[in-house]
Amino acid sequence: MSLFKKILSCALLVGNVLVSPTFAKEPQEDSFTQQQLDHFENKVRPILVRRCNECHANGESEGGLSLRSRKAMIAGGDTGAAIVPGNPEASLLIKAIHYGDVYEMPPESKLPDEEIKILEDWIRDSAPWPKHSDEHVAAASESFDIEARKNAHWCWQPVATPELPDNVAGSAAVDWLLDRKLKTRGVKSNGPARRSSLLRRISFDLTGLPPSPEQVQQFAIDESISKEQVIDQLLDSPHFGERWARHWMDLARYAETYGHEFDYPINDAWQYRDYLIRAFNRDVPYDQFVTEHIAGDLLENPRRNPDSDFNESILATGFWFLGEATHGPVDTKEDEAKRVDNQIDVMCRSFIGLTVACARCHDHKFDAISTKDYYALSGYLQSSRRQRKIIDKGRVLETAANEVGKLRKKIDSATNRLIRKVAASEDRDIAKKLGSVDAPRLRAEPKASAPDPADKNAVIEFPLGTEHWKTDGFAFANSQNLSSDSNGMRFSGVAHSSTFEIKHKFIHVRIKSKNALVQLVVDGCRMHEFNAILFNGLIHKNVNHDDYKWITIGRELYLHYGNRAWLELEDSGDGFFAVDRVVFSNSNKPPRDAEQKFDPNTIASLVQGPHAKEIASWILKHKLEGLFDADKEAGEIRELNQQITAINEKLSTGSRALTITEGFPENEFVFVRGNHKAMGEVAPRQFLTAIVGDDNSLDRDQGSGRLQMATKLLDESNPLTSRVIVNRIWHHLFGRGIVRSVDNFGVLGEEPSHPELLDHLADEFVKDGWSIKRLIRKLMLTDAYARSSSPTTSATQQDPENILLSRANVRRLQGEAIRDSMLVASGRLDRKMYGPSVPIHVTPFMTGRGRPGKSGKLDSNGRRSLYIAVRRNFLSPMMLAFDTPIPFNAIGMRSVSNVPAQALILMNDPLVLQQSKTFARRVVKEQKEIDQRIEFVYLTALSRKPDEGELEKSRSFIADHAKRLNLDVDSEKVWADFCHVVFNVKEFIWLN
Amino acid sequence: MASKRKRNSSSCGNFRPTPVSRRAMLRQAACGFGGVALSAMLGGKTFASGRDVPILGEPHFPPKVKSVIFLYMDGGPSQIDSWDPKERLTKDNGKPFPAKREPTQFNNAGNTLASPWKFRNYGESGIPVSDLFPNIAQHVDDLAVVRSMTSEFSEHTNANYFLHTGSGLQGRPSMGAWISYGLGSENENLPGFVVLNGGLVPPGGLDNFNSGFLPAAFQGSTFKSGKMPVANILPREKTSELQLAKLDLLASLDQTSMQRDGVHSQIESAIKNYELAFRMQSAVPELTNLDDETATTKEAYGFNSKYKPEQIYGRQCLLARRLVERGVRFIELTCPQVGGDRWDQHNNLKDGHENNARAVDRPIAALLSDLKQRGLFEETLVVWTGEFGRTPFAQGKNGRDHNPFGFSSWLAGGGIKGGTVYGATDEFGYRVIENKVEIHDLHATMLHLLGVDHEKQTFRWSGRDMRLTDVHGKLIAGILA
Repeated sequence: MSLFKKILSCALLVGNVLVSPTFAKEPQEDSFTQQQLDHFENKVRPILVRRCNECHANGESEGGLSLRSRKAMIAGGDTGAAIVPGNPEASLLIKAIHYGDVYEMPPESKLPDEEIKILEDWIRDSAPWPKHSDEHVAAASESFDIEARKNAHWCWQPVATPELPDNVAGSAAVDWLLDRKLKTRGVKSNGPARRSSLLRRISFDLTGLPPSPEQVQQFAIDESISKEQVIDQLLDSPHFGERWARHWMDLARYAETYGHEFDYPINDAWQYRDYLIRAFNRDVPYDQFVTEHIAGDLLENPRRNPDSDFNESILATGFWFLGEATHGPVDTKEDEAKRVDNQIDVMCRSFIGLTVACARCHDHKFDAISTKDYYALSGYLQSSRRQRKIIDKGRVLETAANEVGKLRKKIDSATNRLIRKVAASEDRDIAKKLGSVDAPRLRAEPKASAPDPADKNAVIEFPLGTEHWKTDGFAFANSQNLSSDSNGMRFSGVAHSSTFEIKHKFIHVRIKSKNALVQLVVDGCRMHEFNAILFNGLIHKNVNHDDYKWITIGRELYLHYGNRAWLELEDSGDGFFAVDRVVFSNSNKPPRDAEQKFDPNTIASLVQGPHAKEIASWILKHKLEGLFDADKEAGEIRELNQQITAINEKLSTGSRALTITEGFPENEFVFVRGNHKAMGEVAPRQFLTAIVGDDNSLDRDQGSGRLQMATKLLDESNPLTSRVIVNRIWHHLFGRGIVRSVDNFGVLGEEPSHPELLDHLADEFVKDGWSIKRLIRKLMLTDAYARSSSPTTSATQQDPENILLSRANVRRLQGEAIRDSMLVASGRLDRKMYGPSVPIHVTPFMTGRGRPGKSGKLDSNGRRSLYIAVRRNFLSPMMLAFDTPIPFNAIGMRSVSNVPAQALILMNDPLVLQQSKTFARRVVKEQKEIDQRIEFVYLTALSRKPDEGELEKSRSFIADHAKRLNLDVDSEKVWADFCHVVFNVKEFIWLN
Repeated sequence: MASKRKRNSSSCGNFRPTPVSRRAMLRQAACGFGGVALSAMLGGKTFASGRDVPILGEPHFPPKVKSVIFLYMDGGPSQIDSWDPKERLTKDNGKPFPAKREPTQFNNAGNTLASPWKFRNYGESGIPVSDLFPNIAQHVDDLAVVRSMTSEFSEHTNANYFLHTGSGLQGRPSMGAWISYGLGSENENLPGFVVLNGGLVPPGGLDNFNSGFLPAAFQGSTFKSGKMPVANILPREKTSELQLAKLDLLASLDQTSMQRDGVHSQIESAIKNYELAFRMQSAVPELTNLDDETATTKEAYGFNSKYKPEQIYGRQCLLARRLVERGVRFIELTCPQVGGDRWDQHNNLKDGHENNARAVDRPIAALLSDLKQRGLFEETLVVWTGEFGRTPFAQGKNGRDHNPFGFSSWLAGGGIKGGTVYGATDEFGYRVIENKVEIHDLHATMLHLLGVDHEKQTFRWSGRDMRLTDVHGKLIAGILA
């Protein structure tokens, strides 16, 4: 517990006071006796001076709290009044010196007990203080001026379009803007790169793979196809989506496990990866792409997958939940705060290039973002929940549910007719005719009377209506209540309750079910699915009740008093649940069911009451329809039910995806100094004030408002979204963003090197329908992109960092591209796309808890690197060495490190050696002459022919090496060593 | 501090004038690709690649030590059973715990539990040490025992990240990465941050040793015990002649490209890395080959122990000394498997702690003696700590739960005031009541002893100047000599 520490240090940064409570009962200061004042001077003040004043008396009062006077103490600091005269128990100062929940003061050491007692007594005695020295300390409230901040920094200014000469447009306009700056600075630009270098650049940038032999032949050797043609070919390649999905995965901190102690799986994460691939391949307009990420679940007309006809849009929302998670958090609220922090950080860095999460503890130190802004965003997530959603390919489930719906209507009408017949029955001797059949027990309706608060054993009924419950899934397609069985057993569905504060030791749920999951989700913590430590009794898996029976959520529920939670019931498609009562109580025993056997002789009147359906099914179950002359209706119902069963039997559950869904609308409170135990004012949900002002356009009682947030994010009034994405694309193509700090456009980020160019691109991008492919094409067709990378002395002197782009930057390939290139060269690459990830190959160096029991193959079945499982605690050592980011936050710019581990991998790693051998086998088989083989290796691995010198060196190596190994020059082993050397050539992993 | 060594910042120590201490010699061995140093072929440019060089040209103030050996006691050893004796627990054994209790990880809190071990006073300082550590106890006059450590987390993973990176979240740079980032390695053939993995990887995984947002060059290199301590360190070629032949061709082809396409500094330093990698291929096996250690030394470290975990940890401790000799900045030792659990006795405290202590006690004592004997003690900082301590009340019948509110660590070596006890917990050993020390303070003090001001060593990331100590940290002045 050293929250005080954070609070202290943050206090140095910002000085505004958020809470200034007033107190009604304040004893008159004049009334203190001399005795009281003497006691104060002799006993109390020395303690304050010695123990507190260092930090809480002078100009810089930590945490905004001054203890210099009684008035100052009552005025308090950031977290409210320090003392409540007369009430030591309610005084924060006393809690702090007892090392309480919020503060531990003084931080170095706890006060001796006798000093604590003196201070307690003093407050109990109304905190006497001499009037003459009780100066009023004005609260150091320095208001946070968002408008001023905004005006002072470029990124908030509207996108301004530069004037261009007539007839200069498209790629030429980009070059014109770049060249103008080069000319002004007098820097001469390079001529075009060699065609083979340019081809590699284009191919890796678009697909992450080297060019095909045909492309090398046609573009680089024969020059029979143009740059436009090769770019268009590659933009159309399915590998384009794979390449650009991987860029986005860096932003989404994509991983398939939760990390931490046991590295539990994030099920279905790969669906998000596949979504990205398809989205980039189809060139989904970026505004649509953004909307789908924020609120893909809320679109009126979601995008359907053209091949398999399922809802694509909703899959994007999985990105919210790809962060880390800890099981067994001792403080769930704090745990939730951290998760939400990460979600907001990832969203804001990715889409608007701002470090909004900096404002979690204090108004942003540099940018126009307040703490209230941060918690306003937090409210959107408080109002939303995670859900594993069924992907309904080909609308199979939807169609079936519709069919069932029609049948259900017929059943309802037949049932109503049956009921009417029963009601019309006059026969008073029905009891006799029943023979051995027992009359059913009918449940009494729960009493609606308000519980007596004094009664410890009072039970509270939790309402079951739609105001308090949301249902989702085809199991609920034709029903309004909390029963997932009306469509049959194969439909899945989830029901979740509104959020409530935990005030009871037990929650009893009366449920009839097969294979149902019943759980309480506390502050959004869901790891008890894997490990219920500290959540024992809060989750029940595979609940099977033939008839309504109670299930109790409890045991460790008391640990979570005061936390917020909701109930969640899940039918995952191989069963059902139906709930008819939910009760909160402090007894571990569920309420007794008041049940009554009904008198069959009263059936005619009873069937007209609330038990109609129960009685109808009792009649059908025991085949009693004959008694009521209702054989026709009963037969019809049985036949219809059989049809429903038949429909169900043809269904399979379908795969699932991680998605977000609507919870119940809530606003978050500002956590004073980021402390979740010190709630401040409410922060109503809205997008950043600097962009939308005080925005009341959202009806905050109607849903989370995420869709409206997406609209604000994409609105013209927000200059960030378009700038950020065009800059990201620029970064990927030129090796450095126009704003180098691609994830931070704020004050601490870097200024744009070409502001006019950035705005020009952003403006055109929006006008061109937010098309990423067209933007890439335009940038690739510039002269600047095609320049040679060779450094010239003059340009290097004038512009050492090549900010003006007088030449192309050399760029090292990403780890994924290096590995994939080896697979291409060796012929091992399996171009299969999509699907669950291939297991990671586990080396002896990858140890620790949660280690996968079974290792994947060394070559991961030849699949592209983005299909290899990303396990947070078992990341690929090769990818890590080549800077694939650790998935903990949005990373738009990978570092490019130079470490010996990279050389060691390329020199000695079993995968590299294996691929060298496979490559060699191919070389020896496909080509017969030494020179042809060398040429083949060069063409395949480096996309060009060797020059005479390289040919000569290679030839003599082959000859000498065969001798060294005492082997024939045709031996695969000799060639494997040669191929291995070529994999190590810098040109193999660097783009010139 | 009078230095026995000089900073070795050029690419190859062979060109430096003497002094040839054993340490210097070890640091300079095995430079270049045999006779064919690539850098020489490329015009002898020095080994430098922008951000990969240490940021501190000179330390902020004169360093007391050059290396840190971090003895990480995985799982949370119990303070009240090791360094912080409490009469009250013996007196109240089995009675309900009378003070306010915080929520615990396992929520199975029982009665007050006395320590099963006796404490004795050792050395001139008379500091009490429990019978768990009879060998380390012999060095007590060299130790500064901090009895007022605290953590912010009572769960292993968060607490481990916190201990290692100063943040409870995953993905931040480890202290070793900060230190090698700030100071670089004194050895051109070995990484600056080495983790000697005794068998247990702490909860939270290898990310405890990662470089986070710092350049990847500074991440901890994990050395396993056994023949191949580092991944891909052994050449796959049958003879080094064969490997050199390939590397010669490689160098020559790379040179051709450079002549054709121009010289780029990034590509140049990638080429240089092949030299370091090549040298590591011999430097690492040389490090782990213990043939030149005497039988007496090995015996002292516990090589001949019948208890396997002690053998393993003994070897790690000896390797730690060898790494210090070779100028490696930060060496962390993880614990060996002892059959049961790590120092995490939720039950069966007695057996579990005894097994863990038996594995480390003699090797650590031997390490302290060995460092002294070789004159390395004064330029090395040894830190012994867990991620948190344990509760004075029982978990179940005979275990103890996690306790971040007060636990004990010790430090020894250069700049440390030996024979000191610093800080205090309450009468139960539950909460700190005097001179509270946070993990940030431990970090600040470690950096200080290395000559680094923790407030000045920063790295700009995500719009902030990040520090190992975040916005916290103050020196534990009371334990400094």
